[in-house]
This record gives sequence, C-alpha cells and structure tokens, in this order.
Amino acid sequence: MKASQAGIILCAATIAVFGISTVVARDHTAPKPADTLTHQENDSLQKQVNEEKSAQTETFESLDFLNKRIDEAQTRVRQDKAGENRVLIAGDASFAYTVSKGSPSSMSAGVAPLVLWRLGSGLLFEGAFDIGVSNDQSGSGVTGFDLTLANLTYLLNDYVTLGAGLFVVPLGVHHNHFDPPWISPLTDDPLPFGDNGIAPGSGIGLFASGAVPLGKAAFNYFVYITNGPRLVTDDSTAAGTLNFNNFDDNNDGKTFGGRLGARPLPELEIGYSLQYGLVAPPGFGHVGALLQGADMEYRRDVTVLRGQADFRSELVFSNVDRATYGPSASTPFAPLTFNNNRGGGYVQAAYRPWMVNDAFVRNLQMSFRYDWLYAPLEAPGGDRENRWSIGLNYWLRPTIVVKSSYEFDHATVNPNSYAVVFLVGIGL
Amino acid sequence: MTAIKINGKKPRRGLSLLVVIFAGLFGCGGTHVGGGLLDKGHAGAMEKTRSGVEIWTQQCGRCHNLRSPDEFSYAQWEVAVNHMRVRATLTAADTREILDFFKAAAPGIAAVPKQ
Repeated sequence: MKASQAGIILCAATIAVFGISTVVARDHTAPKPADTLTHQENDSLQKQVNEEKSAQTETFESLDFLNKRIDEAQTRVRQDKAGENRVLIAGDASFAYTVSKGSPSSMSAGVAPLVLWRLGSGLLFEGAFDIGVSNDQSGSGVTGFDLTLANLTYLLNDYVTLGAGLFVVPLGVHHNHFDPPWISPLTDDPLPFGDNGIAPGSGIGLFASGAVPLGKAAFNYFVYITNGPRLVTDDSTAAGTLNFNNFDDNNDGKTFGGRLGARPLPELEIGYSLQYGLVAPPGFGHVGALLQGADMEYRRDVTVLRGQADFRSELVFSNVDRATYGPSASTPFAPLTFNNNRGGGYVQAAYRPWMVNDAFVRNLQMSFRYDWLYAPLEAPGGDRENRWSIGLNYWLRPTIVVKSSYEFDHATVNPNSYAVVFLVGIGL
Repeated sequence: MTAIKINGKKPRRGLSLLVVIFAGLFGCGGTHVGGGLLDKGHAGAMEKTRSGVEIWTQQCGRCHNLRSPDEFSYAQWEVAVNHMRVRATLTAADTREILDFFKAAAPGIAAVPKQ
C-alpha cells in the first residue's frame, strides 16, 4: 500500500469515527418529547397531587362537620319554635273482653291521654283524662270524660319540687306507678285500689316533693294538703265509706298526707304513707279518717332464671272514727253505729323470660296476685273479700301487651265469683 | 360426712332451700336492662353515658318496660323525664344522667365534634 492510500483510509476512518460520535452526541442532547417527565418533575407533581388530595379530604371533613352543625341548628330551631315539642302527649289505652259469673260477657274500651307541657325552665304542666263509653240507666250510650290530672309543678331546686292542682295522691304507689294497663301485669287494679277500694286516686290541693341521694341509695318524700275524701253518711248501701272524688270540699277541714320512700338498692323501693283529715259533712259531727299504706317494689333481671322477676306488695289501712249513720230525707234507713276500720292489700309476682333465645317465649309474661279487702261486716256493704288471680301476657312491643287473667273471688257475705278477662294495654 | 350445724342444731331443709332460692333470685342477677330493649344502634351512646344508661334502666325499668330512645326527640324526652322526676320522685342527679344519655342516643341532636 502506498503512503497516500494509507493516509486516505486513515482520514476516512477518522471522519467516520467523528461522524458517528457526533450523531451519538446529537442523540444525547436531542430535545425530549412533550409527554416525558424528569424525576424531579415527577416528584414535584406527585407532591402536588398528595397535597391536593389532603386538602380535598379536609374539605370533605369540613363539609361533614358543617352539615352536622346545620342539622343541629335546624333541630334546635325546630325545638325552639313555639308550640312544638314542648308538649308531649302520652298516656294509655285499653280494650278488654270480660266474662264473669253472674254478668253478661262484655267488651269495653277506653283511652286516657296524658298531656305534658314544659312551660319553661323547671315549670311543668300535667293533664290527664279518662275517656270511656258505657250505657246509662235508660240504655242509651254515653261517653264519659273525666279530668283525672291537672297540675302545675315547679322544680325549685335539686331537692324540692312544688306543685298545685289535681294530682295523684301517693297513698301507696299503685295509682302513682302501676295503674296504666301497659304497666300493671294483671288486668285490673288490686282490690284496695279498685273502684270500691280504700285508697285515694287523686286529689286537689298543694304538694311538695323531692329526693335526696345518699351514696347508691336514695330517699324521697312527698307531702300534700288536699280537700280530702268525703264520708258517705246518707246512703244506706254505702254509709261509712269514703268518696275520694271530693272535688268540691264538703267541710273546712283539709286533709294532710305524705309518703316517705327509700331505695336502698336501685331495684328496690320501700315506702310508708299516711294521710289524715276531717271527712264528715257539716252538722254530722267531728269524724276523722286516718289512712296508712306500706309498699314494696322489687324488679330485676335474674340470670339464673333467664328473665325478669317483678315483686310488688302493698298494705292499706283505713280507720274512720266511730260514728252513727242515721236516716236522711233522701234515703231513710235505721241508724247504724259501727267501728269503721278497713284494710286491704296485695302480693303480686310476675316473671318474663326475656333472656331465652326463642322469640315467642321471651315475650311471654306470667303473673300471680293475691289481694284482699276487709270492711266491717256490720257496715253497709261490709264483707271480707279474698281474690286469687293468675295471668298470662304476651308483649307485642315494650309498650303494647295482650293480657289474659283468671280471677277467683271468695267473699264472706257476697257469693263467690270468678272472671276471665282479656285485655290489650297500650302505652301511648 | 360431717353435718353442718348452726348453734348446735342442724339447719332445717326448708330453710336451706329458701336460702338457695333467694340466693339464686337476688344474688345471681345479671345487668338490669329492662326487658332487653337496648340494641347495638345505641352502643355508642351507651359507652358515652354508661352511668346514664344504668340509671335509666334501673330507675325507669323498676316500674315499666323501657321505651326506645328513638321513640321521642330529645326535647320530648326532656319533658317526659322531668315529668317522671316528679311522678317517681327521682333525684335531680339521676334525672340529669338520664337526660345526658338521651342527648347522646335520641334523634334530633347530632354528635358535633369538638374543634
């Protein structure tokens, strides 16, 4: 090879190498495509996305918070609107079918609305009515409408509540606590608290009540002054009994009473109550009536029985001064004089196996009651009455119960009797 | 076998049976929940106001079955519970605890987070 040929080849090789290098170098420094990011840009963007996500989450939380605040504000506005929610209509209703010895079987119904009105801080109004239908002496249908409660109470402080009006008189606790048909496990009132009983239901007057905690125990009191009952003096079939519907007082003597209660355990309450007042009409003489009551209530779940046990018992005594009930122009009868001491009470137990798995069984409730009412045999209508009752109930809801009971009544003067009662009790 | 004696006398079988029955009834009781009305939906409210729930079940459940907290709004519960404070002579402290529970459990009051 000649030197000139070698030089040409070397030059060509050099040019080729530099050319390739230039191309390679041009490839490295070529502008990047628009859809390609650097690592730094990618990190930056990722950071921005995370920040925006975080901001979005905070926004959602804020919106959620605001929505809740709006809901709450709307609720408060609704609650503060006059005439709404400050009034609560509760009460009870019942429908019954009764089969009893010596009387035609009959169905009955009634409703007892309870109107509660919160008038302001610590100021409450309570009103209640008994509405029922029956037949009058001519056989025409009539609707009975009785005002049973109408009182105003003021929560003075933690320990004193003051009240006035027509209120439940706490002689014993049946009328105060267990009267409604969805609360009492049996189909009617115990004898001392029934229509011909010896315990008052409600009275017109003034009262003060309160409760004082002492550790886990608590003590409560209720004192009152009312018109008091009216002694029946001129009815040959009822002379010596007390009429508790004495809404227009028949004398100037008022009746004083009260109840002291203790709750040594949360499930247990015991109490003692009494009232005393003059009960005779003007011109009849000085006749006082002392009523006393003792009560015990115990109700709790018992695991070993897989249910709830409920025990209640009350005693009531009525001592009216000895008096002579003479004839009157409207109801002439021979003068009667007798010691007017009466007594009554009841012992009641109920059990509901609500802890068992079977849905039907756990809504059943069995109940038993023994009650009695003694009145002097020499008094008009006097008798010694003892009654045994058994009941079987089914709870459709916590405030709706279908009840059935069988009652056997043994009396000294009146003939023995029995009754089968079916009743639906509803808490409104 | 050694017989158990009290004051030198063997206890009567009837008395022993009575003691066993009463121990079973009153000593082995479970939590009083008044007819098992509470459901899981109120669990949160129960946790917040444990003492309010207990007082509610004990004081109200001593006389009647418990209504569901959903049955009334809180404003209505305020009326009802203050009424029962008078009717059943509840203590003021118990009344407040019960109302605190209803504030957490009854509809109408949203649980607002603290800022």
